[in-house]
Amino acid sequence: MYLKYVVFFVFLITSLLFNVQMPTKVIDMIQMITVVGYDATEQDTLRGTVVAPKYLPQGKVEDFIYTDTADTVYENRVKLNAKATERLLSGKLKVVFYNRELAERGIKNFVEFMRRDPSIGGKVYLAVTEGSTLELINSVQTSKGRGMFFTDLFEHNIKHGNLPQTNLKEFESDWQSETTDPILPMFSIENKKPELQSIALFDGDKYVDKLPIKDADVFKLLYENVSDGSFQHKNDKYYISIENVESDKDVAFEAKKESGEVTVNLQVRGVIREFTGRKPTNRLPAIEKDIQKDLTQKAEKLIKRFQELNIDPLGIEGDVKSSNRNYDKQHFKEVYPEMPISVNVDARLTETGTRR
Amino acid sequence: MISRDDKVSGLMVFFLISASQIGVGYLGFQSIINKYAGHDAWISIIIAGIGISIIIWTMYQMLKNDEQGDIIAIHQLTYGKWIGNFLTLIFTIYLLLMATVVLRTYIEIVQVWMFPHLKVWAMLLLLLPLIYYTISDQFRIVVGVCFLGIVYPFFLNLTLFFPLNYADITYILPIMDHTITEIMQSSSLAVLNFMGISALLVFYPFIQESHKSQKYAHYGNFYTTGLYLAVCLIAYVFYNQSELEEVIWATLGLWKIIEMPFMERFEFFGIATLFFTILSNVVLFMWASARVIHRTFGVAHKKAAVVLLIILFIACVIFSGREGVNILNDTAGKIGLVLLFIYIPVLFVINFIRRKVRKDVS
Amino acid sequence: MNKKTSQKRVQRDFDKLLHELKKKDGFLYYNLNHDNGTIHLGYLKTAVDPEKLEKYILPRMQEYMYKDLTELKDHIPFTKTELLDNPGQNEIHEKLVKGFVFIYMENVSPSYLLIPLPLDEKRQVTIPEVEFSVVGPKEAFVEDIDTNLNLIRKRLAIPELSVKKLKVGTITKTEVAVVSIDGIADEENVNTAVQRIKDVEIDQVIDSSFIQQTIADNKNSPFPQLLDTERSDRIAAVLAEGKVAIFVDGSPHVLLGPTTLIEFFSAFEDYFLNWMTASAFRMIRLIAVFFSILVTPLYVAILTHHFEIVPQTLLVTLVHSRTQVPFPPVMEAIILEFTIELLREAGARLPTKIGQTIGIVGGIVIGTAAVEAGLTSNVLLIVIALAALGSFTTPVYKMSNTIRLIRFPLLIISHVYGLIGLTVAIAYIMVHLLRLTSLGRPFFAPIFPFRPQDFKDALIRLPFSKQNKRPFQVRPSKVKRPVANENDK
Repeated sequence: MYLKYVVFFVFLITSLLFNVQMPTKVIDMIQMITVVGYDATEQDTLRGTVVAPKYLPQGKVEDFIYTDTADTVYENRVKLNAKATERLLSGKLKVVFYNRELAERGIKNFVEFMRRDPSIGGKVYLAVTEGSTLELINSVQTSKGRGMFFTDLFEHNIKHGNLPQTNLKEFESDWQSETTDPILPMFSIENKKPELQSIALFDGDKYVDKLPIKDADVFKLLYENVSDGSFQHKNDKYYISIENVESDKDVAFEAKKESGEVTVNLQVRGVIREFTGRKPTNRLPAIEKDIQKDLTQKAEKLIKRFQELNIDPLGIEGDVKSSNRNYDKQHFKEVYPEMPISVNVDARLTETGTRR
Repeated sequence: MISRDDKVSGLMVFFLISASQIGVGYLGFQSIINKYAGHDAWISIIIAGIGISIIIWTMYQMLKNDEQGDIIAIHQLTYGKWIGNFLTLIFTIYLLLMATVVLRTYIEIVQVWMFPHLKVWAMLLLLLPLIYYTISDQFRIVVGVCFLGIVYPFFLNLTLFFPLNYADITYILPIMDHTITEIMQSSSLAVLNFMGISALLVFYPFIQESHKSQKYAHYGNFYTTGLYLAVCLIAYVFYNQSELEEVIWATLGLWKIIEMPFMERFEFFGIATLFFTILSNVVLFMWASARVIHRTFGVAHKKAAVVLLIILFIACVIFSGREGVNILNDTAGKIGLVLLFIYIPVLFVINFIRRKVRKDVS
Repeated sequence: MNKKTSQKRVQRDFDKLLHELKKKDGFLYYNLNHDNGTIHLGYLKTAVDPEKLEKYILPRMQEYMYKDLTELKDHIPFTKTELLDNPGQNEIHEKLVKGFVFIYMENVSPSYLLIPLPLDEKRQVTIPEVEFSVVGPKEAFVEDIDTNLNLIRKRLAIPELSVKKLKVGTITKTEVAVVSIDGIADEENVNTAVQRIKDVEIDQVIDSSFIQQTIADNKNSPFPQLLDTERSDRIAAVLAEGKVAIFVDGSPHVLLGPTTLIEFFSAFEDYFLNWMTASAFRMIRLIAVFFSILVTPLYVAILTHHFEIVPQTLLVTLVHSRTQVPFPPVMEAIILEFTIELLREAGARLPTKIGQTIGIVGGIVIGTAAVEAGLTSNVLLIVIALAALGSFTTPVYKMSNTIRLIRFPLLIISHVYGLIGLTVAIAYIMVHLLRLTSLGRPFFAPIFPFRPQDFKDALIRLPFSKQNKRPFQVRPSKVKRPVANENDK
């Protein structure tokens, strides 16, 4: 009768006893890496820098920064562990930087480990730095920790600024797909402080060019559906600044001629925030027309540049592929640089703020 | 005879069928079924679901016509006592294999995602008493576990809408870009995630007014199909096809992206909650195999359960690592496919003729 | 002639009895001369109510006119008086202990008159203290079974109310009453209850908890399988639903069954409030219970194994609060849980006023000191205090004890197996609950067996007009509840 209880407790206790010495990751007995930077040094070796925060009273955070050189990411980790007081774990990794030189060589091998390790999340922000990542990380002055500092910086720029949606998952998708080339934000040090300077354009996993962040508003409109963006327009007569921009993008493909023809239809709605002329309400259609013209021009110029570089960060190939059953990859690659891609903008100003 | 207290209402067939189908496959079937049909593989899920519905109908046609209405009775009627019992034994081994596959794969996931140093046998010592505790009493308890194994994780499915923020609809366009043959080939892979329904052949007599419960069985199958379809579509707009090739557990990857102010990394909760689904799966198969042994050889149900659990324990310990688990999965998949789509229709036909003949004689 | 010899024998027996009784401590004895012979009166001092004796018995014996005891009996205004001829020593002894007074009259037949004058030490019906409610009736059961039954009869003055009385306990012979309403309650439930009480083998029944434990379906379960309540209104209400109530003499708590897990989390006050408020409170209570059970094990599991789950912003607070603590999270949690249990236990054992002081002083002083000394983290202190608070929202005391108890194994298993261990432990509890029955009816209903119509009064409480059916759980004979203005509809 009581045998089954005895057996149950013996099983339970054995089970607990034999698994109790599984390595634990007690939250205060480890160092959680939040930011990592990789710099290309000499041929084939890299310098890895990791930031692990130490939490102080009153919500203050002090960062430990460890740096060393090695061949692979985890060899580097072994060397860094030799310097750290507690085990370094990458479960809370938030931001990864690559310097430009490394990005030019290709960052494939330094992204791979993040996709394989189950403890690393999908929302890691990747970025390229103009100079050394170590310098960039060191240049930050913050009391909330470098991890939080960079995450917040990325987040608000993605939500309300000119930076398109970007993270590990997006990068991976773009890079793995044979139709889109990835982009990453690019940082540099300005006045001894880190600054989001431009958008790095990739061909596969190799850096090829960059686009200044202040001109990225058009890029963002072409890249995705914007929910809260901004846009500036200048001409001889007036300056205008448009906020709360919402946009819808639609790519249409027409199988004309040899290469086919792509039209990007863009719908932009926004609110006037700054206007140097007088009484915009009376002249809304004219202003809208100016903006449309400006946007179309800038967008077409941008696309032309991508075609010249033979990269496709906007995923036009994906759109063509999905709307064309006769799509042939080889053929598309051949005709892409010369493909006629036109942009069709429909801009509307819905409000003028609190003034007429 | 089975007492009235032991029986469960017809509605429960819905949960039993769904619980027997949804298992570890749920976490990663997306990157398996797209082998032939690519981004159109989601269509093959619908086809697989319809196929399974036909099999369910076939099973009901057989079961309805028998007094005791389970596989043992059908086998004995069709092939006579000896051959019938032999085939029943093979069926039991299959059920046991299914339980092993599910349990071992789940433990593998735990090993990969949470505890790489986990001692499998020690973990099993924690789980086996639970399985025994569930299957040693009335069938009601097993049904209860299946019911909760569907209801609890249901709320988890709602979180799968978060990844839609990162969806790109162009990944699954144009629809029907593959040939019918390719889609059918993918369907044969998709069917592997529906295989558990063979347990119906055992628990059928435990259903009140069992012949009226057929519609619930179909609803259960539709629910599973719908759920798989939703998860598959979400994964296919979240990942592109070349990305999926490298991913083992696509559903878990979907949870990786979720961040809430009070917690991140939803996949850990996902794996934990999925234990209820896994448990209902294992418990149902183990109960069914113990029941079959009890019916064929007259061994006491509890003793049969103990012996089967020991076999389960040994099997789970022997097969280890990615490779071992893969072998298990492939074998079970092949046997299941033969059983469901070849053996059962054949059995149906022979059974039908047998009954006709017997009726004419009497 | 024959009569005379028998009279003599009676007289001889009485003399012997008197001789025996006089040796007893506290035996009082008077005699009185009467025309037909001497009258003897005797009783035990401690067992008899002296006031009644002096007021009703003695004056009548002396002043009224009567020939024999039969006539005297008519003068005495008590029911349950007995006239006996020669009852024998043992019976007289037994009756005396129970508070009877005997009157013996020589030379008449019947010669003994036994009058019950027990000393009634009854507590007054007071307001419920354990299950207090702000609104609604405020009468609680007392220790006396007749008073308790009376309270119910007052609320359910119908002929269908059936009371089956039984005696349990080889020494105490306690009166136990199984109460149900004929035509509503399922006969099977009543029979199960009666049969189980009959089968009880126990020497003493001091309280209804003795019955609760001995007739439980699974005696090795931490969960109580019969609900106990001190509210007469609650008993009346569930009787009308078709359930069975078990009254035990000497206990102010009445048991009711078949019950379900969810019923333990519904306070009876819910029925006095508007249905939306009541449902909200019920949900809060259920969430509190889940919170109370799960939050500390979750803390242990996440801090020991799954730091990835904690968002960055929360990490600052969590890690900082733990940096001073030298123990692993599980030790920390067990120590703190143990402290809370200590405080509760100390508070419960001490008189109310001191108990409260201990609770407050202990809570504040020990808690703050432990955090300052770096023995526990303040986040855990908050978590555990909240968990304790959550467990106290359960209206039934015995259930809230269970809830606090099952946390400890969960803590240990979470330490070893993290979230997976926690889930497995929950699965164990779940299967256990699925297997439990209350008077043979599933305990986990209406969740499983799934009974949608019973949900109207389970997780939420719908308005009375929607609750037109009695819970299926108890399998009532009449399912439909009569509605007063059914014809108007």
